[in-house]
Amino acid sequence: MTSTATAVTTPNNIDQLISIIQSEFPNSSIRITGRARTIRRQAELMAQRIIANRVDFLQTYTWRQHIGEMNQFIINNPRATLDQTTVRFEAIINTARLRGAQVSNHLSDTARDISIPIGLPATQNTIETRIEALGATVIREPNAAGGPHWHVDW
Amino acid sequence: MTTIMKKHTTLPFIGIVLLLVFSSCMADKKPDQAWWLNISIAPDKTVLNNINITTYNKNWRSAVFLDEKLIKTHVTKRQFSEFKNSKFKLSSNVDLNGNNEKETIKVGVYQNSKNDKGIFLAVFEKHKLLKVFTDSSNQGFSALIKDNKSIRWYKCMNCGEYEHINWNGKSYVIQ
Repeated sequence: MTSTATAVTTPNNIDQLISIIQSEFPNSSIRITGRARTIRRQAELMAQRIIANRVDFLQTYTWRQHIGEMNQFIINNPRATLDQTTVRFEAIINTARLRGAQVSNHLSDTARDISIPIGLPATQNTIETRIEALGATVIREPNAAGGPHWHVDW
Repeated sequence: MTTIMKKHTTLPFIGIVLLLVFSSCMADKKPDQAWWLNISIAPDKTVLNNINITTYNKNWRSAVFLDEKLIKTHVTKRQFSEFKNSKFKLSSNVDLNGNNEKETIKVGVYQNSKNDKGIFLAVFEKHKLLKVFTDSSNQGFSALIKDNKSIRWYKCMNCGEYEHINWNGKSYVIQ
């Protein structure tokens, strides 16, 4: 199994990177099988938690500026709905990340899980090298509880 | 001379343009995704497990549990086999709260009064609805894998996107 195109292309995001790999190795049947937790989902989880029990929320998360902002939002808006809280928390998380805060180690807008490329080990090694040349890292997860895959983070 | 020079600059120029167009096409092309990331389920029930869906969530307009029959109508035979041959379940029985009674956990899709869709996980014990978790960032597939005394709620197969549901001594929580 060989690469059919060696055009040097620079991806602008993780999806473009995967598209390039798929086009360069069409016989390896690579497809995206999963994504990382989105910021929206993280915001929703935290909103659900704080609405359910604010004290429990404060005991769950290490105190950070963004935790304080979330806590203050609920204090100031005791009747805020889940949707309203989620939207506000999403903004708080985005701002926190711009500051360099790590809100959760599960968050990523730049990671995708892909199917394990079909082919001999040499082909798989070539594909991994190519993914790395395009700027991403690969973690092979052949024994993951959720099924075998490669985790690609750009 | 001018004609020769034109030929020698025109052809490489065309080559560069074609390469840029090819790269641009690759850049715009969406990558192939597994079926479970694209499956679209239409929630169409107002009563689930003999319980009105407004008990699950007061903002829901309709909902549906995922089961094999439903999945079968949305995917090919080969895709369904992929699911059937996996470790994933759409319903699971496990004693999360340690009271020697197994809870039944089911997953499904809801649509709320704003017409937004999302997925949900419901926990029952002896047919009583105990807890509902929702995820508005996903709109179709989800499934379960047992993990000791907890349940992993996966949003895909062959992936690492999941959340843990367990009992913290007082309530069901999601990690």
